[in-house]
Amino acid sequence: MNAPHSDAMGVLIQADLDGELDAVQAADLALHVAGCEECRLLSDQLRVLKAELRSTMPRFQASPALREAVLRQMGHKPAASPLARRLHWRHLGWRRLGWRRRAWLPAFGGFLGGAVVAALLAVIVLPAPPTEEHGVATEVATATERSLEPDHLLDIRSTVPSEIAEWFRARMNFAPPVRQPSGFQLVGGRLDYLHHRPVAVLAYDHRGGAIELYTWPEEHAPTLPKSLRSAGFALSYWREGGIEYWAIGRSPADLARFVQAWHRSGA
Amino acid sequence: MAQCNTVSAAETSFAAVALPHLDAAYNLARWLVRDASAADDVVQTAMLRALDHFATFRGENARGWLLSIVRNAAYNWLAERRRGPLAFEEDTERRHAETPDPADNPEAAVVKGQDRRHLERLLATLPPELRECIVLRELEEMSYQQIADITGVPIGTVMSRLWRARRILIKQAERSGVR
Repeated sequence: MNAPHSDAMGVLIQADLDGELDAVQAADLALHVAGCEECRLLSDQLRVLKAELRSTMPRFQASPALREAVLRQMGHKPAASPLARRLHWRHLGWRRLGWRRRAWLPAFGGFLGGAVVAALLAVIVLPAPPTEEHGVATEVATATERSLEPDHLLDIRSTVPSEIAEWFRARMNFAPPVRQPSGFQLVGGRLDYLHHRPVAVLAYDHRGGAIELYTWPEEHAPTLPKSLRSAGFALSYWREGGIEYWAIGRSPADLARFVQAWHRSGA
Repeated sequence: MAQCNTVSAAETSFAAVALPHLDAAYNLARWLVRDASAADDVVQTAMLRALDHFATFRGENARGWLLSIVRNAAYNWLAERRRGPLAFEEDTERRHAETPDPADNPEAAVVKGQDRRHLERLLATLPPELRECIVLRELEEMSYQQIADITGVPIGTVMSRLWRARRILIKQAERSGVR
């Protein structure tokens, strides 16, 4: 097999075998394959491979223990299951980063409540090492840290706000306002999960430094960060128009400029 | 806490929606993280997330909805393990591509019965972005569009990933066939 003929034809032939071609396309392809030795070989190889995969690959099944554990989870309010909570936080990287789980965990249950706090609230530089805790801010910092290594992890790379908004709308029933704050280059977006909820992340570039903006529809009254810890990130939190925002970056000065520019660009 | 007693109706319908797809969820997680107990953890985490934002589920294609959450949980797990799936992808492709082409021979391309374990091992070496396409297509029998929805990439990317995965598998089968 050698490119490019076989690559282009391979995609087409496999689409046929996968049942993705309409009758006309399939007939065209059959005509070509009949007269092309290379494609006939490719078609044979793909057919054999598909058959082998289907007969060989195990389809793993959930163990009775897992089924039971999942059922047990459903029997409780999810945040009330200690095992599940442990698993969840572990997967968010808490253990790896060596932070202790403490009394703040149940405090998330106290999020329910009324008041909506508007406008820009605080810009906080997170000192290291950690001394106290605030969950959401630290989750944002953890997610950001993870997303920046080794390369900036983005699900969609685009500089066009409408494209990015549309991409989110198709996936999470929520589209953040995608703005272009002056001095900051929109580079894309990512769907992330924070505290059990999908969030829309917008990524901006500013003189080589990344700024990320985490957004989601506001749910509960926020608990404001009293004090924070993380690996040298600056965070800014605000809510506006029924949406919660967390902006994060390495440089506090750049972040402050970003937040100002963001508000100006929406006016 | 007060909210503990107010969720049973939602949980009942969540169970009806999600439980039929528990095997599919586990299968995808298992193929992605390649470890039985890690797959258990991933599925449990994913089920919690799914339950938590069940309100955003639009009532169609429950399996795809659930699998996209499972996939995300699995990638989080992989990222935590520092396998960096996105960076990993090109490297593996290159490594496979460097293996020399044997003479074209359809018989040699057939994966023999005794090579099944070899095939399984080979699948395990594919980058997760390629492996998941094979799993979703051949085991879950999903259409390109469904795979695109779950993996969050355009349909053309699904097609090229499937092709890259199959090209690697065919080349490797050729190698082991002529050996």
